[in-house]
Amino acid sequence: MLEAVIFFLLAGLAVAAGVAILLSTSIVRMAYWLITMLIAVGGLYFLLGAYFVGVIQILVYVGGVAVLLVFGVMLTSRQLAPKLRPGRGEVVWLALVGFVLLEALTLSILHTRWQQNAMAPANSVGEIGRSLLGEFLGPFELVSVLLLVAMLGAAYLARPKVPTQGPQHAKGTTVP
Amino acid sequence: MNQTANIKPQTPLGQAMFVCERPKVEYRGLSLKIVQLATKWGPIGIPLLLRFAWGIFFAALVFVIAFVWVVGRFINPLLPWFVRDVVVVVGLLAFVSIVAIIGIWGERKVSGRIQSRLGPMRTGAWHGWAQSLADGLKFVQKEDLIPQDADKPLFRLAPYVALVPAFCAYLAIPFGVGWVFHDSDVGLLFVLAMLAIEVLGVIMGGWASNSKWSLYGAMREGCQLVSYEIPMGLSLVAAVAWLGSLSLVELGRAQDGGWWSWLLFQNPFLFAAFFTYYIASLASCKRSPFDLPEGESELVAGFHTEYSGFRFVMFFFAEYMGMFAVSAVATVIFLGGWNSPVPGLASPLWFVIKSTFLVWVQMWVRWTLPRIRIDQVMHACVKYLLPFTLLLFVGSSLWQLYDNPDHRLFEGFAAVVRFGLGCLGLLLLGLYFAGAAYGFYHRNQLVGQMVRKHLPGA
Repeated sequence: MLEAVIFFLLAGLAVAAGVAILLSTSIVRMAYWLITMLIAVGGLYFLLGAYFVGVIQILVYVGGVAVLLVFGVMLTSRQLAPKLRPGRGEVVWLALVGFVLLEALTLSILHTRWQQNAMAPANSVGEIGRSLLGEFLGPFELVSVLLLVAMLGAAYLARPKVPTQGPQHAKGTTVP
Repeated sequence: MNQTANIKPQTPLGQAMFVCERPKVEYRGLSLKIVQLATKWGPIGIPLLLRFAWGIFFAALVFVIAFVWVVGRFINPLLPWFVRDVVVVVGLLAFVSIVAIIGIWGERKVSGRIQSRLGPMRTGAWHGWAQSLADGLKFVQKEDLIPQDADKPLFRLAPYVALVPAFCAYLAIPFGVGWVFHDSDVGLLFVLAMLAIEVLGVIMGGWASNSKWSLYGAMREGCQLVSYEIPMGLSLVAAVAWLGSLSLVELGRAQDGGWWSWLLFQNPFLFAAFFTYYIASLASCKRSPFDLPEGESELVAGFHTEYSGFRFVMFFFAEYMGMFAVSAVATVIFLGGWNSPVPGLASPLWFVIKSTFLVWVQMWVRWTLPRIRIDQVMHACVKYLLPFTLLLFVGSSLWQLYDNPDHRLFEGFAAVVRFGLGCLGLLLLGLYFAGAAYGFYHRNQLVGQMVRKHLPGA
């Protein structure tokens, strides 16, 4: 009974925050609604007994990603912040992508065989670690390589755009 | 307007110059109630309170101890679980408020001591002990100002977002075996996650104030926290890998039996990891020398420039609760938690004493070291603290590997490996202190060539 109440509270909060992301025009408000949604989903993990996943959800997404997101958003001035309204051509594409995504999610929800098992064992951290470095070692390493590539890409994008004023660099070019 | 302009020259010069028309503050709701109560009972109650301050203090102490004992012994087994939860949460709330109140007073006394002043002396019977209470009363009565162009919902919400997670961190912090609200197997991560959310409130308040000082403070907080979380987490990972658990109760229990079994003294890498954790925790709860988010010398008051009244107090409380929380984590993981230096005297009192000592060191550091610049903060983290912590982690793991019965990797030459690792650890420790000494010796030198040109006298 209490679980059901908490579940509907958290799920309602997550859905409401998701709708609010779509409806708000201020980009900082959007970021904070996103954070609300992430915390509510973390609460759902807690409710399921997956403490490790819930804590990691809050630690990584709220503590890391969302802080960086808000940090990046704050660098844009409030007056100059773009009003996020899609153009007419974009609406078609967005609707198409949204429809495909909705269809995929609905189908996957309908076709999953939901089983109501007992709770996972309490020591879930060890289980997750063992399966990451045992059964799923290949995907795990692939993901870490992907993250490394993303990090290198970010460093490449963030490098100083002005070429360094070294003597060998300036030799061949003519200064306008 | 014309009338006032006519009247002004007629009044004596000395009065007219300094008369400032203050808008009349209208109290509403709860603050009205509090002001009414304070004006009605204050003249009688406060002198009485001060007269019997020590008696009230000891009576409250005895009452709290007796209450906790009675509830734990007789009432708790009879009650349903949610009553126990409510009782424990209320107790934690009281403890945390007392920590914040004593911490704010203690900070002022410590700063006074270090700067050869007295600090607050008048309020209360002894050394101004009631100064924080008086300040709290003052702040509750103050007008709750919100800037006109602020993002009002976010501005109102921000202090709560800072305060509530800082309190939630205490739900997983154990004060002793059995003295914890919820002993989870991911307690350490829970505390870190809650301390990470706290920062979000600071950033929210800084942005919503619509003031450049607040925004600068919030941005500094964001980049500083995201950077220093990594060395903080990595030095904790070294400790967690050593003891093999994420539950704070398990981590504390594993260090039972005298000061030599504390994690701090297990190997030189963990000894250094304690200090890296401590430095990173200073940055993550924005204490000096990393208190750039509220750098008073350049950013009025940083992220809480626009806050007044009780919302300001909530930011303050969140800061002191965060200070005690990171010190508590350091105590449980590195300093043996509730275990006494002599085996067999484990008590929550030890935990409180050790954590209070670490909080005191934070205050000591704050009033001793100057604030460093934001580029120096990032420089210190990314170039020095982060590689150093990675080295510590690798060294600690290798040290753990050589005499592990499950891994016979170094069986033949264990002594050589131990000697080499010991030398490496001592070298790292030496580098640590040498770096600190180097920094102290060059304390007047600026980092960048670019800045040095523009500063006179450099």
